[in-house]
Amino acid sequence: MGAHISVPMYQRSLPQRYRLVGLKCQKCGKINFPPKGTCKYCRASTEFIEVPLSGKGYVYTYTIIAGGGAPPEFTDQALIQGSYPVAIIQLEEGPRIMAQLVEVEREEIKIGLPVEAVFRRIYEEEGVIRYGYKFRPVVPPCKP
Amino acid sequence: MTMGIQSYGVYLPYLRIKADEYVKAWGACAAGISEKTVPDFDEDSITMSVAAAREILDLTPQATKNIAFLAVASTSFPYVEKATSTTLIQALGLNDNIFTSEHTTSTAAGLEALLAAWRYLETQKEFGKTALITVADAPQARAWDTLEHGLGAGAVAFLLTKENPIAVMEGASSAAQESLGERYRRTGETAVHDLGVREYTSETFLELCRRAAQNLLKELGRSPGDYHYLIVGQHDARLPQTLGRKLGFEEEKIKPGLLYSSIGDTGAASALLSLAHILDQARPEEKILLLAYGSGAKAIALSLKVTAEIADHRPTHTVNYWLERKKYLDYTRYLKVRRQIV
Repeated sequence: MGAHISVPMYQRSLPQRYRLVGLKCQKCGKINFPPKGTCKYCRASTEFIEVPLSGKGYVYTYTIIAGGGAPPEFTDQALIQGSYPVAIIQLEEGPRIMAQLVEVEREEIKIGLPVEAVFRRIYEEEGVIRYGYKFRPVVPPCKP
Repeated sequence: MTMGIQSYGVYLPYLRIKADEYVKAWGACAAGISEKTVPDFDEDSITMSVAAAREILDLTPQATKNIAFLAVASTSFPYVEKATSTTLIQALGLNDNIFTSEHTTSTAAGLEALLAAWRYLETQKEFGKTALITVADAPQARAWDTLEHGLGAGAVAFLLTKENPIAVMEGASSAAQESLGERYRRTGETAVHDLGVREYTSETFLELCRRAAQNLLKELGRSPGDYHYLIVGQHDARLPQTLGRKLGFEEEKIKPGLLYSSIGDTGAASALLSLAHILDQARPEEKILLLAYGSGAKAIALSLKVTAEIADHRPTHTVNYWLERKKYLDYTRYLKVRRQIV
Protein backbone atom coordinates (compact mmCIF):
# COMPACT_ATOMS: atom_id res chain seq x y z
CA MET A 1 0.00 0.00 0.00
CA GLY A 2 1.30 3.42 -0.88
CA ALA A 3 1.23 6.52 1.26
CA HIS A 4 -0.57 9.08 -0.87
CA ILE A 5 0.71 12.57 -0.24
CA SER A 6 -1.41 15.20 -1.96
CA VAL A 7 0.19 18.04 -3.90
CA PRO A 8 -0.87 20.67 -1.28
CA MET A 9 0.64 18.56 1.51
CA TYR A 10 3.85 18.12 -0.46
CA GLN A 11 3.89 21.84 -1.23
CA ARG A 12 3.76 22.72 2.49
CA SER A 13 6.72 20.49 3.25
CA LEU A 14 8.98 21.73 0.42
CA PRO A 15 11.57 23.50 2.65
CA GLN A 16 12.21 20.27 4.57
CA ARG A 17 12.12 18.02 1.51
CA TYR A 18 14.27 20.22 -0.75
CA ARG A 19 16.86 21.48 1.74
CA LEU A 20 16.28 19.88 5.12
CA VAL A 21 14.97 22.91 7.00
CA GLY A 22 14.38 21.90 10.63
CA LEU A 23 12.89 23.75 13.59
CA LYS A 24 15.03 24.53 16.60
CA CYS A 25 13.06 24.63 19.87
CA GLN A 26 13.57 27.97 21.63
CA LYS A 27 13.13 26.32 25.03
CA CYS A 28 15.19 23.10 24.97
CA GLY A 29 17.36 23.87 21.93
CA LYS A 30 16.70 20.53 20.21
CA ILE A 31 16.01 20.34 16.50
CA ASN A 32 12.70 18.97 15.30
CA PHE A 33 12.77 17.35 11.88
CA PRO A 34 10.32 17.03 10.31
CA PRO A 35 8.86 20.19 11.87
CA LYS A 36 6.34 19.77 14.70
CA GLY A 37 3.70 22.08 16.20
CA THR A 38 5.00 21.40 19.70
CA CYS A 39 8.58 20.37 20.41
CA LYS A 40 8.68 16.56 20.45
CA TYR A 41 11.56 16.56 22.95
CA CYS A 42 10.49 18.92 25.77
CA ARG A 43 6.78 19.04 24.86
CA ALA A 44 6.75 22.43 26.47
CA SER A 45 7.28 24.88 23.62
CA THR A 46 5.78 25.97 20.35
CA GLU A 47 8.45 28.59 19.72
CA PHE A 48 10.93 27.62 17.01
CA ILE A 49 13.46 29.13 14.66
CA GLU A 50 14.14 27.63 11.23
CA VAL A 51 17.58 26.07 10.76
CA PRO A 52 18.77 24.44 7.53
CA LEU A 53 20.47 21.15 8.45
CA SER A 54 23.87 20.23 7.00
CA GLY A 55 22.67 17.00 5.41
CA LYS A 56 25.62 15.19 6.99
CA GLY A 57 25.16 12.11 9.11
CA TYR A 58 25.63 8.36 9.20
CA VAL A 59 23.63 5.21 8.59
CA TYR A 60 21.85 4.36 11.87
CA THR A 61 20.26 1.26 10.41
CA TYR A 62 19.07 0.11 6.99
CA THR A 63 17.07 -2.42 5.03
CA ILE A 64 16.76 -3.57 1.43
CA ILE A 65 13.39 -3.16 -0.26
CA ALA A 66 12.92 -6.10 -2.60
CA GLY A 67 11.09 -5.59 -5.90
CA GLY A 68 7.76 -6.96 -4.73
CA GLY A 69 7.90 -4.95 -1.52
CA ALA A 70 8.05 -1.51 -3.08
CA PRO A 71 5.09 0.83 -2.54
CA PRO A 72 3.22 1.66 -5.78
CA GLU A 73 4.88 5.08 -6.25
CA PHE A 74 8.22 3.23 -6.35
CA THR A 75 7.17 0.49 -8.81
CA ASP A 76 9.23 2.01 -11.65
CA GLN A 77 12.25 2.20 -9.41
CA ALA A 78 11.86 -1.46 -8.40
CA LEU A 79 11.64 -2.43 -12.08
CA ILE A 80 14.82 -0.53 -12.90
CA GLN A 81 16.86 -1.44 -9.83
CA GLY A 82 15.41 -4.80 -8.76
CA SER A 83 15.76 -3.85 -5.12
CA TYR A 84 17.01 -0.74 -3.35
CA PRO A 85 18.36 0.29 0.05
CA VAL A 86 16.45 2.45 2.52
CA ALA A 87 18.12 3.69 5.70
CA ILE A 88 17.49 5.56 8.91
CA ILE A 89 20.04 8.36 8.88
CA GLN A 90 21.36 9.81 12.10
CA LEU A 91 21.87 13.49 11.23
CA GLU A 92 24.70 15.54 12.76
CA GLU A 93 22.20 17.92 14.35
CA GLY A 94 20.30 15.16 16.16
CA PRO A 95 17.23 14.09 14.19
CA ARG A 96 16.94 10.62 12.63
CA ILE A 97 15.23 10.46 9.26
CA MET A 98 14.36 7.78 6.74
CA ALA A 99 15.70 8.06 3.19
CA GLN A 100 16.97 6.02 0.26
CA LEU A 101 20.69 5.43 -0.24
CA VAL A 102 22.27 6.02 -3.66
CA GLU A 103 25.68 5.49 -5.29
CA VAL A 104 26.56 2.70 -2.88
CA GLU A 105 27.22 -1.01 -3.41
CA ARG A 106 25.17 -3.37 -1.27
CA GLU A 107 28.24 -4.69 0.54
CA GLU A 108 29.47 -1.15 1.34
CA ILE A 109 26.36 -0.32 3.36
CA LYS A 110 27.22 -0.56 7.04
CA ILE A 111 25.79 0.87 10.21
CA GLY A 112 27.90 3.95 10.86
CA LEU A 113 28.64 4.69 7.16
CA PRO A 114 29.10 8.49 6.80
CA VAL A 115 26.58 9.89 4.33
CA GLU A 116 25.42 13.23 2.92
CA ALA A 117 22.15 14.43 1.45
CA VAL A 118 21.65 14.76 -2.31
CA PHE A 119 18.72 16.24 -4.24
CA ARG A 120 16.93 13.65 -6.35
CA ARG A 121 13.59 12.73 -7.89
CA ILE A 122 11.74 10.65 -5.31
CA TYR A 123 8.70 9.63 -7.38
CA GLU A 124 5.98 11.04 -9.62
CA GLU A 125 2.33 11.30 -8.76
CA GLU A 126 -0.54 13.11 -10.51
CA GLY A 127 1.99 14.00 -13.22
CA VAL A 128 3.99 16.04 -10.72
CA ILE A 129 7.65 15.24 -10.09
CA ARG A 130 8.25 14.95 -6.36
CA TYR A 131 11.81 16.00 -5.61
CA GLY A 132 13.46 15.46 -2.25
CA TYR A 133 16.49 14.11 -0.43
CA LYS A 134 18.34 10.83 -0.67
CA PHE A 135 21.75 10.08 0.83
CA ARG A 136 25.07 9.00 -0.71
CA PRO A 137 28.36 8.04 0.93
CA VAL A 138 30.28 11.25 1.74
CA VAL A 139 32.22 12.50 -1.28
CA PRO A 140 35.50 13.75 0.24
CA PRO A 141 37.08 16.97 -1.04
CA CYS A 142 39.90 16.88 -3.60
CA LYS A 143 43.39 16.73 -2.18
CA PRO A 144 45.17 19.98 -3.09
CA MET B 1 33.88 47.36 -12.46
CA THR B 2 35.31 44.08 -13.72
CA MET B 3 32.67 41.61 -14.74
CA GLY B 4 33.56 37.96 -14.49
CA ILE B 5 33.39 34.59 -12.80
CA GLN B 6 33.72 34.53 -9.01
CA SER B 7 33.50 30.76 -8.52
CA TYR B 8 32.21 27.62 -10.19
CA GLY B 9 31.04 24.12 -9.38
CA VAL B 10 30.73 20.93 -11.39
CA TYR B 11 28.68 17.77 -11.13
CA LEU B 12 29.04 14.60 -13.19
CA PRO B 13 26.76 11.63 -12.56
CA TYR B 14 28.31 8.57 -10.91
CA LEU B 15 27.25 6.13 -13.63
CA ARG B 16 29.20 5.43 -16.84
CA ILE B 17 28.88 3.20 -19.86
CA LYS B 18 31.83 2.22 -22.06
CA ALA B 19 31.80 2.34 -25.85
CA ASP B 20 32.51 -1.43 -25.72
CA GLU B 21 28.98 -1.99 -24.41
CA TYR B 22 27.61 -0.43 -27.62
CA VAL B 23 29.96 -2.59 -29.66
CA LYS B 24 28.64 -5.71 -27.89
CA ALA B 25 25.00 -4.66 -28.28
CA TRP B 26 25.01 -3.08 -31.76
CA GLY B 27 28.24 -4.24 -33.36
CA ALA B 28 29.70 -0.73 -33.27
CA CYS B 29 29.68 2.49 -31.30
CA ALA B 30 28.75 5.38 -33.57
CA ALA B 31 30.27 8.02 -31.28
CA GLY B 32 33.96 8.76 -30.78
CA ILE B 33 33.79 8.12 -27.05
CA SER B 34 35.69 5.71 -24.85
CA GLU B 35 32.97 6.06 -22.20
CA LYS B 36 30.24 8.51 -21.22
CA THR B 37 28.33 9.74 -18.19
CA VAL B 38 24.86 8.36 -17.50
CA PRO B 39 22.29 10.14 -15.32
CA ASP B 40 20.72 7.75 -12.80
CA PHE B 41 16.99 7.05 -13.13
CA ASP B 42 16.27 9.63 -10.39
CA GLU B 43 18.44 12.39 -11.88
CA ASP B 44 17.47 15.05 -14.42
CA SER B 45 18.67 18.48 -15.46
CA ILE B 46 17.15 19.99 -12.30
CA THR B 47 18.76 17.62 -9.79
CA MET B 48 22.12 17.95 -11.54
CA SER B 49 21.80 21.77 -11.54
CA VAL B 50 21.18 21.68 -7.79
CA ALA B 51 24.22 19.43 -7.31
CA ALA B 52 26.52 21.76 -9.30
CA ALA B 53 25.21 24.90 -7.55
CA ARG B 54 25.68 23.25 -4.14
CA GLU B 55 29.35 22.71 -5.01
CA ILE B 56 29.62 26.53 -4.95
CA LEU B 57 27.26 27.35 -2.10
CA ASP B 58 28.41 24.60 0.30
CA LEU B 59 31.89 26.11 0.07
CA THR B 60 30.70 29.72 0.47
CA PRO B 61 27.24 29.66 2.13
CA GLN B 62 27.48 33.42 2.79
CA ALA B 63 27.31 33.97 -1.01
CA THR B 64 23.66 32.81 -1.09
CA LYS B 65 22.14 36.06 0.18
CA ASN B 66 23.90 38.22 -2.44
CA ILE B 67 22.50 36.35 -5.43
CA ALA B 68 20.17 38.73 -7.27
CA PHE B 69 19.73 36.82 -10.53
CA LEU B 70 19.42 33.16 -11.43
CA ALA B 71 19.75 31.90 -15.00
CA VAL B 72 19.19 28.22 -15.76
CA ALA B 73 19.83 26.37 -19.00
CA SER B 74 19.24 22.92 -20.47
CA THR B 75 17.83 21.35 -23.61
CA SER B 76 16.23 18.67 -21.43
CA PHE B 77 14.25 20.38 -18.66
CA PRO B 78 11.77 17.89 -17.17
CA TYR B 79 8.92 20.35 -17.69
CA VAL B 80 8.28 22.10 -21.01
CA GLU B 81 5.94 24.47 -19.18
CA LYS B 82 6.45 25.27 -15.48
CA ALA B 83 9.31 27.34 -14.16
CA THR B 84 12.47 25.40 -13.45
CA SER B 85 14.37 28.15 -11.65
CA THR B 86 11.87 28.06 -8.76
CA THR B 87 12.84 24.47 -7.91
CA LEU B 88 16.41 25.72 -7.57
CA ILE B 89 15.35 28.74 -5.48
CA GLN B 90 13.70 26.37 -2.99
CA ALA B 91 16.42 23.71 -3.06
CA LEU B 92 19.25 26.23 -2.63
CA GLY B 93 17.45 28.62 -0.27
CA LEU B 94 17.88 31.63 -2.59
CA ASN B 95 16.14 34.96 -2.03
CA ASP B 96 12.53 34.81 -3.23
CA ASN B 97 12.71 38.23 -4.90
CA ILE B 98 15.46 37.40 -7.37
CA PHE B 99 15.04 37.73 -11.12
CA THR B 100 15.25 34.54 -13.11
CA SER B 101 15.74 33.60 -16.71
CA GLU B 102 15.46 30.18 -18.36
CA HIS B 103 17.26 29.10 -21.51
CA THR B 104 16.56 26.08 -23.67
CA THR B 105 15.94 24.80 -27.26
CA SER B 106 19.56 24.55 -28.34
CA THR B 107 22.95 23.55 -26.99
CA ALA B 108 23.93 27.24 -27.08
CA ALA B 109 21.52 27.77 -24.14
CA GLY B 110 24.23 27.42 -21.51
CA LEU B 111 26.32 30.28 -22.82
CA GLU B 112 23.14 32.31 -23.42
CA ALA B 113 22.34 31.96 -19.71
CA LEU B 114 25.82 33.21 -18.84
CA LEU B 115 25.38 36.21 -21.13
CA ALA B 116 21.92 36.99 -19.71
CA ALA B 117 23.37 37.01 -16.19
CA TRP B 118 26.26 39.18 -17.33
CA ARG B 119 23.93 41.74 -18.96
CA TYR B 120 21.73 41.79 -15.86
CA LEU B 121 24.61 42.42 -13.47
CA GLU B 122 25.89 45.22 -15.70
CA THR B 123 22.65 47.14 -15.11
CA GLN B 124 22.84 46.83 -11.31
CA LYS B 125 24.32 49.71 -9.36
CA GLU B 126 24.12 48.05 -5.95
CA PHE B 127 27.43 46.87 -4.55
CA GLY B 128 28.11 43.18 -3.95
CA LYS B 129 25.27 41.65 -5.97
CA THR B 130 26.00 38.43 -7.85
CA ALA B 131 24.30 36.19 -10.40
CA LEU B 132 24.10 32.40 -10.36
CA ILE B 133 24.01 30.34 -13.55
CA THR B 134 23.30 26.63 -13.65
CA VAL B 135 23.61 24.60 -16.84
CA ALA B 136 22.75 20.92 -16.89
CA ASP B 137 21.81 18.54 -19.63
CA ALA B 138 20.94 14.91 -20.26
CA PRO B 139 19.73 14.75 -23.86
CA GLN B 140 17.87 11.60 -24.94
CA ALA B 141 17.47 9.91 -28.31
CA ARG B 142 15.78 6.68 -29.37
CA ALA B 143 17.79 3.58 -28.47
CA TRP B 144 18.00 2.51 -32.15
CA ASP B 145 19.22 5.90 -33.34
CA THR B 146 23.02 6.11 -33.62
CA LEU B 147 22.73 9.71 -32.38
CA GLU B 148 22.00 8.13 -28.98
CA HIS B 149 25.44 6.55 -28.64
CA GLY B 150 27.21 9.81 -27.81
CA LEU B 151 24.69 11.42 -25.47
CA GLY B 152 25.98 11.96 -21.93
CA ALA B 153 25.03 14.12 -18.95
CA GLY B 154 26.59 16.68 -16.65
CA ALA B 155 26.14 20.02 -14.94
CA VAL B 156 28.10 23.15 -14.16
CA ALA B 157 27.32 26.29 -12.19
CA PHE B 158 28.96 29.71 -12.13
CA LEU B 159 28.68 32.65 -9.80
CA LEU B 160 29.23 35.96 -11.60
CA THR B 161 30.52 39.04 -9.86
CA LYS B 162 31.50 42.63 -10.58
CA GLU B 163 34.39 42.64 -8.10
CA ASN B 164 37.63 40.65 -8.21
CA PRO B 165 36.63 37.78 -10.51
CA ILE B 166 38.84 34.73 -11.08
CA ALA B 167 38.23 35.16 -14.82
CA VAL B 168 37.24 38.43 -16.47
CA MET B 169 34.64 38.24 -19.24
CA GLU B 170 36.15 40.47 -21.89
CA GLY B 171 33.60 40.31 -24.66
CA ALA B 172 31.17 38.17 -26.62
CA SER B 173 30.09 37.86 -30.19
CA SER B 174 27.28 35.99 -31.95
CA ALA B 175 26.52 34.49 -35.36
CA ALA B 176 22.98 33.28 -35.99
CA GLN B 177 21.13 32.20 -39.10
CA GLU B 178 18.17 30.00 -39.98
CA SER B 179 19.48 26.55 -40.73
CA LEU B 180 17.40 23.38 -41.26
CA GLY B 181 18.05 19.69 -40.88
CA GLU B 182 20.34 19.74 -37.86
CA ARG B 183 19.57 18.23 -34.48
CA TYR B 184 15.98 18.93 -33.41
CA ARG B 185 13.26 17.80 -31.02
CA ARG B 186 9.64 18.69 -31.68
CA THR B 187 7.22 19.69 -28.91
CA GLY B 188 5.84 16.57 -27.21
CA GLU B 189 8.84 14.42 -28.09
CA THR B 190 11.50 13.23 -25.67
CA ALA B 191 14.06 12.12 -28.25
CA VAL B 192 16.35 14.36 -30.29
CA HIS B 193 16.71 13.57 -34.00
CA ASP B 194 18.82 14.61 -36.88
CA LEU B 195 18.55 13.92 -40.57
CA GLY B 196 21.96 12.31 -40.70
CA VAL B 197 23.27 14.82 -43.22
CA ARG B 198 26.60 15.21 -41.53
CA GLU B 199 28.63 17.03 -44.15
CA TYR B 200 25.96 19.67 -44.50
CA THR B 201 25.52 20.29 -40.75
CA SER B 202 29.29 20.28 -40.19
CA GLU B 203 29.55 23.09 -42.70
CA THR B 204 27.05 25.23 -40.78
CA PHE B 205 28.82 24.48 -37.50
CA LEU B 206 32.22 25.45 -38.86
CA GLU B 207 30.96 28.54 -40.67
CA LEU B 208 28.97 30.03 -37.76
CA CYS B 209 31.65 29.27 -35.16
CA ARG B 210 34.26 30.81 -37.42
CA ARG B 211 32.17 33.97 -37.87
CA ALA B 212 31.49 34.36 -34.13
CA ALA B 213 35.15 33.77 -33.25
CA GLN B 214 36.58 36.05 -35.91
CA ASN B 215 34.15 38.88 -35.10
CA LEU B 216 35.19 38.70 -31.47
CA LEU B 217 38.90 38.59 -32.27
CA LYS B 218 38.49 41.63 -34.49
CA GLU B 219 36.50 43.51 -31.84
CA LEU B 220 39.17 42.85 -29.22
CA GLY B 221 42.05 43.39 -31.61
CA ARG B 222 43.41 39.92 -30.94
CA SER B 223 44.67 36.94 -32.89
CA PRO B 224 44.63 33.20 -32.04
CA GLY B 225 48.24 33.62 -30.87
CA ASP B 226 47.03 35.77 -27.94
CA TYR B 227 45.03 32.86 -26.51
CA HIS B 228 46.20 29.96 -24.37
CA TYR B 229 43.07 27.85 -24.73
CA LEU B 230 40.31 27.33 -27.28
CA ILE B 231 37.18 25.69 -25.89
CA VAL B 232 34.45 24.44 -28.23
CA GLY B 233 31.19 22.76 -27.19
CA GLN B 234 31.63 19.09 -28.04
CA HIS B 235 28.68 17.41 -29.69
CA ASP B 236 30.88 14.99 -31.60
CA ALA B 237 34.51 13.88 -31.46
CA ARG B 238 36.00 15.59 -34.50
CA LEU B 239 34.44 18.98 -35.23
CA PRO B 240 35.98 20.97 -32.36
CA GLN B 241 39.49 20.09 -33.52
CA THR B 242 38.65 20.73 -37.17
CA LEU B 243 37.33 24.15 -36.17
CA GLY B 244 40.43 24.86 -34.10
CA ARG B 245 42.68 24.14 -37.08
CA LYS B 246 40.58 26.31 -39.39
CA LEU B 247 40.76 29.19 -36.92
CA GLY B 248 44.51 28.83 -36.63
CA PHE B 249 44.76 27.42 -33.10
CA GLU B 250 47.45 24.86 -32.35
CA GLU B 251 46.38 21.39 -31.24
CA GLU B 252 47.77 21.90 -27.71
CA LYS B 253 45.42 24.84 -27.12
CA ILE B 254 42.34 22.75 -27.93
CA LYS B 255 43.22 19.44 -26.31
CA PRO B 256 43.13 20.53 -22.62
CA GLY B 257 39.44 21.45 -22.89
CA LEU B 258 38.21 18.28 -24.59
CA LEU B 259 35.96 16.08 -22.46
CA TYR B 260 33.88 14.36 -25.12
CA SER B 261 35.73 11.04 -25.15
CA SER B 262 35.15 10.49 -21.41
CA ILE B 263 31.70 12.04 -20.82
CA GLY B 264 30.02 12.20 -24.24
CA ASP B 265 27.83 15.00 -25.55
CA THR B 266 26.59 16.94 -22.53
CA GLY B 267 24.37 19.21 -24.64
CA ALA B 268 24.00 22.76 -23.35
CA ALA B 269 26.52 22.03 -20.56
CA SER B 270 29.35 20.90 -22.85
CA ALA B 271 31.23 24.15 -23.55
CA LEU B 272 30.89 25.39 -19.96
CA LEU B 273 31.94 22.06 -18.41
CA SER B 274 35.07 22.37 -20.50
CA LEU B 275 35.49 25.94 -19.24
CA ALA B 276 35.39 24.61 -15.66
CA HIS B 277 37.96 21.98 -16.63
CA ILE B 278 40.26 24.69 -18.04
CA LEU B 279 39.76 26.91 -14.96
CA ASP B 280 40.84 23.92 -12.84
CA GLN B 281 44.26 24.12 -14.53
CA ALA B 282 44.57 27.75 -15.71
CA ARG B 283 47.12 30.25 -14.44
CA PRO B 284 46.76 34.02 -13.98
CA GLU B 285 46.85 36.14 -17.16
CA GLU B 286 45.97 33.21 -19.43
CA LYS B 287 43.30 33.95 -22.04
CA ILE B 288 40.48 31.64 -23.07
CA LEU B 289 38.34 31.74 -26.21
CA LEU B 290 35.12 29.79 -25.75
CA LEU B 291 32.63 28.80 -28.45
CA ALA B 292 29.19 27.34 -27.93
CA TYR B 293 27.04 26.16 -30.81
CA GLY B 294 23.35 25.37 -31.06
CA SER B 295 21.51 23.72 -33.94
CA GLY B 296 19.15 25.81 -35.94
CA ALA B 297 21.70 27.53 -35.81
CA LYS B 298 23.77 29.88 -33.69
CA ALA B 299 27.29 30.23 -32.42
CA ILE B 300 28.44 32.40 -29.55
CA ALA B 301 32.03 33.31 -28.78
CA LEU B 302 33.20 34.49 -25.36
CA SER B 303 36.63 35.78 -24.41
CA LEU B 304 37.92 35.36 -20.85
CA LYS B 305 41.08 36.33 -19.04
CA VAL B 306 42.16 34.50 -15.90
CA THR B 307 43.22 36.68 -12.93
CA ALA B 308 45.43 36.17 -9.89
CA GLU B 309 42.27 35.57 -7.82
CA ILE B 310 42.05 32.06 -9.24
CA ALA B 311 44.55 30.64 -6.75
CA ASP B 312 42.19 31.37 -3.83
CA HIS B 313 38.99 30.12 -5.43
CA ARG B 314 39.58 26.51 -6.42
CA PRO B 315 36.46 24.32 -6.20
CA THR B 316 36.09 21.47 -3.70
CA HIS B 317 35.90 18.97 -6.55
CA THR B 318 37.61 19.41 -9.92
CA VAL B 319 36.37 17.98 -13.21
CA ASN B 320 39.16 15.39 -13.00
CA TYR B 321 37.87 14.34 -9.60
CA TRP B 322 34.38 13.71 -10.96
CA LEU B 323 35.85 11.88 -13.97
CA GLU B 324 37.50 9.39 -11.62
CA ARG B 325 34.45 8.84 -9.42
CA LYS B 326 32.35 6.33 -11.35
CA LYS B 327 30.61 3.00 -11.69
CA TYR B 328 30.13 1.16 -14.98
CA LEU B 329 26.81 -0.14 -16.24
CA ASP B 330 26.22 -2.84 -18.81
CA TYR B 331 24.02 -1.96 -21.79
CA THR B 332 20.86 -3.65 -20.47
CA ARG B 333 21.12 -1.83 -17.18
CA TYR B 334 21.79 1.38 -19.11
CA LEU B 335 18.57 0.97 -21.10
CA LYS B 336 16.63 0.58 -17.85
CA VAL B 337 18.28 3.52 -16.09
CA ARG B 338 17.61 5.75 -19.13
CA ARG B 339 14.00 4.48 -19.15
CA GLN B 340 14.29 3.14 -22.67
CA ILE B 341 12.69 -0.20 -21.70
CA VAL B 342 10.96 0.58 -18.40
